[in-house]
Amino acid sequence: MADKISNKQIFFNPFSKDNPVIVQVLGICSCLAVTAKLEPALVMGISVIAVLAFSNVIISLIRNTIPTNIRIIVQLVVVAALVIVVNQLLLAYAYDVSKQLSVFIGLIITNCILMGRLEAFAMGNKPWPSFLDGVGNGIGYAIILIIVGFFRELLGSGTLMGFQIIPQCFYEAGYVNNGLMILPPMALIVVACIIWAHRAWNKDLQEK
Amino acid sequence: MINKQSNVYTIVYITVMVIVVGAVLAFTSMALKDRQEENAQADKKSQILQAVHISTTRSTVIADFNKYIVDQLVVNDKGEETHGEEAFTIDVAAEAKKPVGERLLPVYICQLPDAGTKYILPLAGMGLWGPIWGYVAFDADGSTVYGAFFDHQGETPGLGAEITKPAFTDQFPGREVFKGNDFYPIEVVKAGQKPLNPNVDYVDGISGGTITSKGVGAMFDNCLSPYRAWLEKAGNATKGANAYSTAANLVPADGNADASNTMRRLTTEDIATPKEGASVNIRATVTEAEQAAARAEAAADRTIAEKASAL
Repeated sequence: MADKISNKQIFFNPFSKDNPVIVQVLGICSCLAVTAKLEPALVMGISVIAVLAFSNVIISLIRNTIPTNIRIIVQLVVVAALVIVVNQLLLAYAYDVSKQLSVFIGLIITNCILMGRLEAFAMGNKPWPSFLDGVGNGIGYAIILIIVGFFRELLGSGTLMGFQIIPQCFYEAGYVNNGLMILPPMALIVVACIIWAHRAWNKDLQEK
Repeated sequence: MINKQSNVYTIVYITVMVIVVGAVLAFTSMALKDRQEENAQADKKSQILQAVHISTTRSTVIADFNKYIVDQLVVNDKGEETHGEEAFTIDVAAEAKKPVGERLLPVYICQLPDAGTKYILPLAGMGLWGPIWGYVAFDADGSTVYGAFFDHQGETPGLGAEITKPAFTDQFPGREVFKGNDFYPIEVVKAGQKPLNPNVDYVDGISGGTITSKGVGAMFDNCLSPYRAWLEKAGNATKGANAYSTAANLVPADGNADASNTMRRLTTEDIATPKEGASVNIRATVTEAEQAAARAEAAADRTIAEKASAL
């Protein structure tokens, strides 16, 4: 089966047709937690890309040695170890970034996209396709996070990346930031809107 | 060919994996430890400086800290200086959980070229999701807030996390903790409301970040109250010294000089031969110095009485 899908498809499918968030509906919990502002969403996206790509490669390298009955444990250990190493490196070399990330980095371990990709792809494929699959899925996840973060920060706080976007004269004319956008339920509603638009566009994804 | 489904293989596999992963993590941690600690210390220094509105970069922070922070003290809740501990290494979050009498209270004394002496006190408390902490800088009078800095571990972005933003911290400068002889750590109230006691200085909390805002209020109450005696003493010393220097038109005396000492010098040396231009308000300033000294003495008496009753 692996031979039928080209590397290009492995890399690009997760962007839209096979997107982990809006098609497979994985990783919703972190989507809810980190998207109140655009910046943490972006940072989380980048960290997931890195961790997913490397854990995919490592699991793929040792896939033939892993005893089947403890494979989930092995996957978890690899992901957890990687996350800790990434955190330590950030603490040493990018302290400011790591301060913002510290909460989310722990969330990466529990991100179901990681377990999903390790179990579904890396366990049965060679390292290079696994790496592409990891990066592709990470980007697919990051895109959705950034879209959700964009709308939530713009409508909820009137800013983007911390810079004021909505001009002061709007507020003077009676415009009010929508506080509901900052609260977690709105992340789900925004994700649902994206899924709606996406499925309206891709008719083949619609369930009968 | 090894049987990969056998128990022996599984156990050996998991053992080897744990050892390898453990070694990798231990190595990473050891190799990066020094750098991480350095970063953490530099970060703490930059946070302390932010309370007095100085923003630094990673490369200049240590030089700036050494330049502006002229002294570090550890005091107790009676306002006495204690020795044997270094202010910078004290774990403020752990101290904040101890009973007031046992706490070690760090004070950073900051000398700004344009704004004079400031006292920077550390704060630590709890927000909604985890710890919050901060530094608050007081003017030399020991009562007026000069600046405040807050940080948090994981408050909600856009809600509780807004305590770090200037929109929140800029409310603090100018608030006073001493009202007459009463001490009120600054209160944090819901935006638009007022505290029950109209005398208390307050700031508006963050809408939608109620629990974090309350955490900031509780942090002020818990962490500033033990400093009351010290702030009073420091403020009185400054007032005494100021009165002395304005009256005698001299260079400002040491901010830590004892108020009653100042009084003595003032009466013996300078009142006999007041310098020109100072004679007009000498009566007013002397009275002020007298009051300051009286208050300091009263405070000392109270402390002694408390000690006596404790015995």
